[in-house]
Amino acid sequence: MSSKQEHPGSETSVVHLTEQTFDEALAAAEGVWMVDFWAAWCGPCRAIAPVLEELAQSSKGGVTLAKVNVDEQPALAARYGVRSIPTILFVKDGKVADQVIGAVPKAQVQAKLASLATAS
Amino acid sequence: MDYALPYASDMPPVEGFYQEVAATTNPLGLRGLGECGNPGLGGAIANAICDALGNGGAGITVLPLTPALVWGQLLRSGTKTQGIAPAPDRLPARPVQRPPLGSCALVELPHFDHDVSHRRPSGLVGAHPFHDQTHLNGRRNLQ
Repeated sequence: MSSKQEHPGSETSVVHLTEQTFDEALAAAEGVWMVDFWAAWCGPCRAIAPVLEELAQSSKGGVTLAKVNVDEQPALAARYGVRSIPTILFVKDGKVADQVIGAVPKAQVQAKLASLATAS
Repeated sequence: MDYALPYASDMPPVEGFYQEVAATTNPLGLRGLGECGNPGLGGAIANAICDALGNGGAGITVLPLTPALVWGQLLRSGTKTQGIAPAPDRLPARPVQRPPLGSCALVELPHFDHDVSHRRPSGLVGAHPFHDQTHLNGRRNLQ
């Protein structure tokens, strides 16, 4: 099963996905999921991580943040054609609906989430 | 065709010497020095092409080594070119794949067919586009 990690001082649950848990987790996903492909050595990944956590937290359960470490899960990165990180997939109803690449401004991520929320 | 990057163990003995050419842009003829490994690259490629062409490549002394320049040198040297298609003036441009701003590229290394057991395994490894490769040493993919 995917593992959830509670961050100190935060109510945000971050789901860490692996190749074994990815499909199952997304098939059962409710609402919008942000799947963040990242690596510890990637500066932009570290820059956008708190932004994603904040957005997930402020959504009050509407948005779930999931993370995929590309060093540990290279097959998942290859499967989704991830060639640059951070790559954030926006998953709705178990399907990838959109994505952003790079440490984009918070407003851009918010716009993606708002667009998905209004889409039927 | 995939090429393996040369390692230090692949380097032949190198003889160093000073080529003193005064700069004309300042009164003392001084030149700055930095990244001194780079200037030799063009010359090394030119020498390799000259070596491959035998006597026909002896007159190649300028860069860039365009197909037209090499072809012209072959014609001037009298090298037999019958049956060889003329080189185009320019090679078709290849689009440069750069990672989006604010992101790190994941580089897919070529799969080697020959015995390179002492080299890196194939697979995805990361490379920050704005830094050298030294930070990769600690990454688990390269172990």
